[in-house]
Order: sequence, then structure tokens, then C-alpha cells
Amino acid sequence: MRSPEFRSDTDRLIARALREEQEEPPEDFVAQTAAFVLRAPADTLGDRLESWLQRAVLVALIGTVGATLLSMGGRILDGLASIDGAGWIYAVATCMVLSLACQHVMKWLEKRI
Amino acid sequence: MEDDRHLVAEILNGKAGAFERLVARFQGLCWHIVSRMVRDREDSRDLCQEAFLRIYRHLHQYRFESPLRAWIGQVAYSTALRHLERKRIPLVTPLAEGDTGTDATDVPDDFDMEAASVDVELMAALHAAIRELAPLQRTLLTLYYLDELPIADLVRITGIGEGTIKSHLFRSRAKLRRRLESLART
Repeated sequence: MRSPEFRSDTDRLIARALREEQEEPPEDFVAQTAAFVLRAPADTLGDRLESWLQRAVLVALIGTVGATLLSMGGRILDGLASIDGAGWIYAVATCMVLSLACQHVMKWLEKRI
Repeated sequence: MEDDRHLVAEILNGKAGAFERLVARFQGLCWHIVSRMVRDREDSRDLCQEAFLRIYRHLHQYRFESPLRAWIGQVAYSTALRHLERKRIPLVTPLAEGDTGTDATDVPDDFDMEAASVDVELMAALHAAIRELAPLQRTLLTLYYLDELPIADLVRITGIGEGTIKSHLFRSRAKLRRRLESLART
């Protein structure tokens, strides 16, 4: 762990004050918490609903992709073949924007844990 | 980081005692974050346990992109943050106009604070001043000065920009310093 560089007396004093008045967890906190976590139901109603919704979205996504490829696959391939140089630049830029957006969404979701 | 990987792997493999070791290693960090945010011992205990329950259930999602302490701190912070939101307690006082992300240690230091602090009364005043800070500022000060976490970890834990964190640290430090100086000169 890297320590911040405490350059002044004020910093050391603040650290000392924080240390003096900081409450620490109860002595049996580890045992209590482990018992609480292991005793808790495997998942709650909310977790189950979230899990089912995720599966439903995944199935819908796969279904949509399949239907789109079946109905429009030929035209999509024709369209890709006819894209010129500038068109590819736009396509790559769009992919990068979508990728960055996905990364931000993933980070946001991680924060919601 | 290797220790983190080993510990996480043991917990995910269901090794007895592994989760207890994780709680023992990070209980202080979790408690510091939550207790500084909510300032109630009973609520702190319940929220810390809730945070560790979330950590246990979502550990498989941890991808080792940041230190485990930062990930656990982030879960503890978001747990406490939701509690404050439910209770409609403001997280932070608004930043003063023109306040920039100055480094927390950039305040001039010509006043002999250490000598002045020998006075018990001054120390008590400093404790009171810390308690008066907004929840976010108390938490950032604790993580920076007490737990000695780098700014990068504070960014990961809170999701707040580096400049804003530095600004909060600067303002908190300046406020504490002003309080001490005014008491020392009376």
C-alpha cells in the first residue's frame, strides 16, 4: 500500500486525530459477519428476478439476431461489400463509440453492486 | 495482487475459513468507510454486514482490474451511500465557487501546528471539527490520512473524479487548520 506523502505537521495531526477518534469494528465482527453471510438465503426474490430478466434479455437478443440474419442476412452482406473507404471509417468509428459506451455501462453496473 | 487472487479463488472454491480471512483483512477498511458515512455504530455494523454479503454474492464478478481493497471499498461505499439516500442525508456540502482541485498538501504550513496540538482542548476541537464535516469529506479524509489509500483508490471507491477528491481533501484540511489556528491564537 502506497502511503500519501505527509509533508506537514498538519497532515500528521489530522492523521492522529482521525486515529484517536476512529471507532473500530466489534471484536466478534468477523465471526458475526461470517455467520450472517453464510446463514443468509442463497438469493433473494430480487436476485432471482434479476437473473430471470437477464436470461430473458439474452434469449430476446439471440432471437433478434437470428431473425435479422435470416430475413436480412443477404442484404447486409451485399451492403458490407459495397461500403467504400469513407464508409468503413464511419463503421469503425461507430464500433469504437459503441464499445466505449458498453464499457461505461459495465462500469456503471459494477458500481450498482 | 497475488494474495488477492489466491484468497478470491479459495472463497469461490468454497474453502473453509477463506471468507472469514477476507472479512478479517478488510473489516477495518469497510468499517472506516461506513462508519464515517453514517456515524451510527449499530447502523455501521448492519451496513458492513450487508456490504460483506454483497461482496460474497458478487465476488465472481470481480475481475482483478483494480486492487481487491478498492473493489471492496467501492461496495462498502455504495452500501453506505444508499443508506444516506434513503435517509435523505446530504453526502456533501456544495463546493465553494472558484474552488479547484488543489493538492491536499498545498496549504501553506508556516504555523507550528504540532506544538499547538499538545493542548488537549485543541485536540478535542479537532475531533469536533472532523465530526462536523460532510459525510463524504469525513470519509475521504479517513481513507487518505488514516488508511493511507492513494488518490487512485479513492477515485475507484467513490466513482468521483480525481480533481473533485483533491478539492474535497483541500477544503477539509483547510477547514480543520483554520479551526485549530483560531483556537490556538485565543
